[in-house]
Amino acid sequence: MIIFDFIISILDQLLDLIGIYNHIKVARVAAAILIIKIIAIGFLVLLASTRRLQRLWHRRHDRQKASRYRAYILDYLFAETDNLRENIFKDVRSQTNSSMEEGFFRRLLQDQFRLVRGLERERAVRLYKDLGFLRSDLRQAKSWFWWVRLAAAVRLERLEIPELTEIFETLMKDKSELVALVGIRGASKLNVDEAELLEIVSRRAPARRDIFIEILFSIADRNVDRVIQYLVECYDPFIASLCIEVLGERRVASVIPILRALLASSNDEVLAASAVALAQMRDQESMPLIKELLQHANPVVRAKSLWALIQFREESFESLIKELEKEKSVEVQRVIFDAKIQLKWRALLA
Amino acid sequence: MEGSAGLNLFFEIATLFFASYFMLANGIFFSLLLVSFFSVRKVVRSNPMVESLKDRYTLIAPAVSIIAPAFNEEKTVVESIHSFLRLDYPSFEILLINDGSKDRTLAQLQESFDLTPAERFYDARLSSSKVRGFYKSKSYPNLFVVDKENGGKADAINVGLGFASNTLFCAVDSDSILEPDCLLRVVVPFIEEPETTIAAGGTVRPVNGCVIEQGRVSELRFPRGILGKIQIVEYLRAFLFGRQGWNAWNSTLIISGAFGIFKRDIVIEAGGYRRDSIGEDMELVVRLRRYAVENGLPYRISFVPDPICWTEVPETIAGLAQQRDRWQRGLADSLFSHMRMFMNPRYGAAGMVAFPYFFLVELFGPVIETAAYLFIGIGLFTGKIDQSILLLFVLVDIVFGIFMSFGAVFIEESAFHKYTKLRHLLGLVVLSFVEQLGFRQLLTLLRLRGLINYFLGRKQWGEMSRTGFDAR
Repeated sequence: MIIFDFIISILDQLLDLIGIYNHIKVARVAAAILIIKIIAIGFLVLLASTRRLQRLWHRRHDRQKASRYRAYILDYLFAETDNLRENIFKDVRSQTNSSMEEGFFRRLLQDQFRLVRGLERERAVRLYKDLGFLRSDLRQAKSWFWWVRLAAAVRLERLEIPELTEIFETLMKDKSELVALVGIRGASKLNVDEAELLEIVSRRAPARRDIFIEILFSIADRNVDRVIQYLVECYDPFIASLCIEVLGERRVASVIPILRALLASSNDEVLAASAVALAQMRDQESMPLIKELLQHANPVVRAKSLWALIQFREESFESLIKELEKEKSVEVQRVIFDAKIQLKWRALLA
Repeated sequence: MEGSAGLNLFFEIATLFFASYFMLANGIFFSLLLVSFFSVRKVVRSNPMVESLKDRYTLIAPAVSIIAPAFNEEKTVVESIHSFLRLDYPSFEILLINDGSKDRTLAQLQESFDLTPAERFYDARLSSSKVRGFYKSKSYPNLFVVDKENGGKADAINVGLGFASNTLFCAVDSDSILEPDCLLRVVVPFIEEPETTIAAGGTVRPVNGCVIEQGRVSELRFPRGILGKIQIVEYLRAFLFGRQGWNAWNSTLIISGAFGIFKRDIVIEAGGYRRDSIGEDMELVVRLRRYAVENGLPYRISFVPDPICWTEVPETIAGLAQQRDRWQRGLADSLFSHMRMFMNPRYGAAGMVAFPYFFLVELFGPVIETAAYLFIGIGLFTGKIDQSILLLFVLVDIVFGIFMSFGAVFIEESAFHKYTKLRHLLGLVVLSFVEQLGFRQLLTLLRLRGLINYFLGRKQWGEMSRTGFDAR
């Protein structure tokens, strides 16, 4: 309010100054409001532009710099002797003296983690540590601001080194949802207790398919039994169907009895996923059970189970398709159409 | 004496009306700016997360069908398909719909891509047009061509929807240029909230003057003419306020027809693209919103602020007039066919704020603004308006407009820094001035013309509307 009064008084004085008098209060109030808005926008522009100009200034010679730095990194990773590496390290040290330069170099080095494996990767991690990036990341992972923590977490996650277990255990309980998701993801690649991980992920991200699938896959790679146990224990049909999808994809034979039992489930999602997973594992004995699903009320379940049956490559599916010709739903018609094309090809090849 | 008092009263009421409209419109602009400033910052700050998602897209990315309708485009069709084929995405198919072209479009495709007849399931619920053939390419396994009888753009996309085999589809103009990672970016809302997201759109920017190599923008430059240059600022403004701001309030009403991604099944259930609509892209989004609310489905329509699609903008006044005329008529058409949403709390912020705003400011704004200019002229002529107030108002309004453009330019560019040279940034600042002094007034007139055409065209409905559109 003080600002408002202040601006009105300035406005009055200005109008006095140019010798104009007006008596309509509305117009003055309106103009004052607008001027406040203008000041606010000016402030935002200032906020946005200082950063921008700074960045523009620092990115003058980006392209040349990037190729030079990349050459350094590759030389370091594939150098024959430790001595050579030591020299390159000193060169890099002397060139990346400002924080902007360091950030630039770190980004390029981070990109390499995706591309190299084995011994070279270990060397890249060592370079990362020697340049002090790991230390600063660890410090930033405890920052006050969520965006600083997020960026640090994403960088740390790429390293995939066992000594980070502790920091990821704290990150996955982070206040910010995004940081927690990255934390969970990073923890799933390290040796963190699976039960705790699953408990946290189902609480923090109940609907995020991407995170769930990824974590289930990485747990399945380490310890399949844990995923099976989780499937048996969980109540959420969405999570259950994701588990089934992962197990089917990994062709885990020991889960077949459970899946057969799940073909009597009351949830459509679980039904469809189980039928598809059983077909992926070519479990002949479950065929009659899946056949019964063709009478199900939900067209998606009917379509998925028909697709599953076709996967078994039985000769009988021709008659099956004939039976279903009158089916109305588009989903089932789509499957039938594809099956017919498959039949035609088979006839041609035979 | 009597008459004079009445005239005075009229002038006072009119002044009050115009002033309140002015304050309302500016108030909305200002709050949109504030909202988008903070939401863009949030987007930029969570960018490392999106970038890290990219590493594992093969695991989680949903498959997309790109539907590109083409009508008489023998010169550009091959090049644009090449640019679609180079998109950076793990799983997608391209469906080019030849909408009964009278030139050599199909022959060109046949020569360049080695087409052979193929079979594919066709869901004929949306379109009754006759499909003449379905072809697949021998050289590119994910390229398919549909040959159909002419029926307009909406009908072509509907046929494409019938052939699409993936759960997501992306409708593109076959003359726009896509950023290589556009699908990766625009699909993010579908990965984050797979159950509820039904549509997402991205930012469009003018491409005129840029260097294009092999279907990609390799160097950014400004257009030659002043009209093209100003439109850069205009697009920045429109997408920052009009899209990002509304998106933060979950009331997106427009997804640009040049690039939008949708869930196939819900679009088919809602009836697909409407054949007789002028602005079929906006109409579809409004209808999807209505469909979801009226059937009690949880839904979200998202907007991704990253620049992903480049499009040619008209550089002559005649071309601009034609484009704005079409936009204004499309807007009028979409709004009038969904008047139920107007101030209807059932539709949330979209019905209560966004729809009235589009109706009052975007649709009837030109009428009110032109009336205000006329009013000022008459008032000055007869001496009924205090010159000092007028001066104050006009000055403050222009400064406000310039600052809004500044805001748009700096916020957008600080977030996405596409224009990498300092010269460009300074140029944009200068253009913000020019935009307010002249271009805005020109647009008001063009939009007014479009609105008048809409109301005139309505009386002579039928075959006239299309021939009129083509003739102009």
